[in-house]
Amino acid sequence: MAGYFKRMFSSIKSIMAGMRVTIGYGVNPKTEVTQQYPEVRREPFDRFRGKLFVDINICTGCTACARICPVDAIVLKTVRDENKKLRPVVFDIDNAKCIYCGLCVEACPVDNCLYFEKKYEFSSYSREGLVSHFGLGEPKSAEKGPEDDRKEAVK
Amino acid sequence: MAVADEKFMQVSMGPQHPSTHGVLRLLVRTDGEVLSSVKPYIGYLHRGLEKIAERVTYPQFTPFTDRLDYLASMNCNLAYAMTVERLLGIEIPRRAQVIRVIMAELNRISSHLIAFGSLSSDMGAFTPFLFGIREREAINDLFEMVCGARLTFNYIRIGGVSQDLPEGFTDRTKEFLDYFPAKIREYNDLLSYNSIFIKRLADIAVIRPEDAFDYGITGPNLRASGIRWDLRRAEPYLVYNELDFDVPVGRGEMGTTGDAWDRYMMRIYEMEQSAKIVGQCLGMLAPGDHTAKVPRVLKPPVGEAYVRAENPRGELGFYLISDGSTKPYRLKIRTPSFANLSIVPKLGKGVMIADLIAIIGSLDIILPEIDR
Repeated sequence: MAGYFKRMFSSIKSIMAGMRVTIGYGVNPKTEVTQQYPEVRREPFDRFRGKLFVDINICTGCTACARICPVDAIVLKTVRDENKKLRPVVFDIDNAKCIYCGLCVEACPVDNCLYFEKKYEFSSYSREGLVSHFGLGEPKSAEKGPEDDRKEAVK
Repeated sequence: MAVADEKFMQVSMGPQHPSTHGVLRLLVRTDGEVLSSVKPYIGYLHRGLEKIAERVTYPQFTPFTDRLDYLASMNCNLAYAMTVERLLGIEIPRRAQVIRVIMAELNRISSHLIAFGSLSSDMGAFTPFLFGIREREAINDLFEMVCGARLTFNYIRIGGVSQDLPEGFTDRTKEFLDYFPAKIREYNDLLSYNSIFIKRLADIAVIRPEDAFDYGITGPNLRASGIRWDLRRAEPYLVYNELDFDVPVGRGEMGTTGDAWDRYMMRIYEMEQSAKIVGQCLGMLAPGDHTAKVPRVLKPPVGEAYVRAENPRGELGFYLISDGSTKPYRLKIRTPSFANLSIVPKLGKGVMIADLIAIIGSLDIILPEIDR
């Protein structure tokens, strides 16, 4: 019987120790750690790996990025133009396939050609909408799909 | 649910059960509340990583190792990088080694925080989980600062690390290490020494040392059984032999040595030790290269290598065979969770259903590593 009360007392004591921690946080507004996401947006760090961006005008079409990609997310087609320089006609990055590992950015021999933007909100209504087209080829009719219109309408 | 015979009932626990730590299916035969047998069924997360390794080049496989144990990606990157380095015979610059140890230990802390949190929420206490996640966020911020990702880092590469530490990293880490011990005391108040929690875990699912050897159990689960075996001490790699840290072992403080509470407590002790290691490593950081000179196209000589490293969940080993080409001939991954899960049928015999949750939670298995 004495052991029973002893156990009861020790249980209450240990629960009290735990409650002290939680109540301490509960009454002190300075200890708040969460953010109200859509209203408050956290600024990512400089090295943040967000959406991939290609500055196509300085791209040499070397295809180093497409070759290193472990998941084949980059489709790159080149043709020789009149000056015998490689011209990236098609440069598609499938953001749904991309695993954001950063191997392509390191493989790119041109400075500031292929890099990660800090952008992390690029959801789309369709799979096609997740593919970014950077190619210099003739403008595709699908460049502005219906999902882009809808996104603008939401704004 | 199906009736096996008159006395027993067969219940499928999982694959979508919230306390199976992933997609694990446990086929249990119960006699009322008491289990007569438990059989784990795995494979729901199988992605064929070992086969993928045969069709990608050596550096290309590093992002896939992130997806082995996603709570400790740094440690998985590290073990893979060390395996390829042994094949190539590369020497790593000292600064890279120290950075690697910092990352591995920070990741160990963050992984143990999840283990602590998920076990507590399995045991019906949801609040400690949020406390664990809060500190893990601070570590994730550090990782994001260093490599740009919060979960799949791809930071530790063959030959070193992908980028040097950014400005302000050391200060921020020191800040974290300053307040972290106080948080561990909070966890102890909140959960570790709570009578109800102890009652749920003490004397439950005792793993005896000889069983631990038989089943190939490693990591904190092995040390909880009282065996002082830690690869960082037994087979030191990187700069671990220069560091001062203890290897905590289970002593049966609340019951029998090797019970679920000991396994839980190992993680709390290890977090303290890891924080200590990170603090020492920050002092050892000297200017230097962050990566060795690695050829752009890696062609390791014909041969094989097996390297193991101490992951938060046990020994992770990579067995790599090279045929001299740019792609591995064969890669075998020895994952700790797979061995740790294998003891569940033995532990689960004759216990109550509620204790099965404690067994799974205290073993801290992770499914992508088991199925790979």
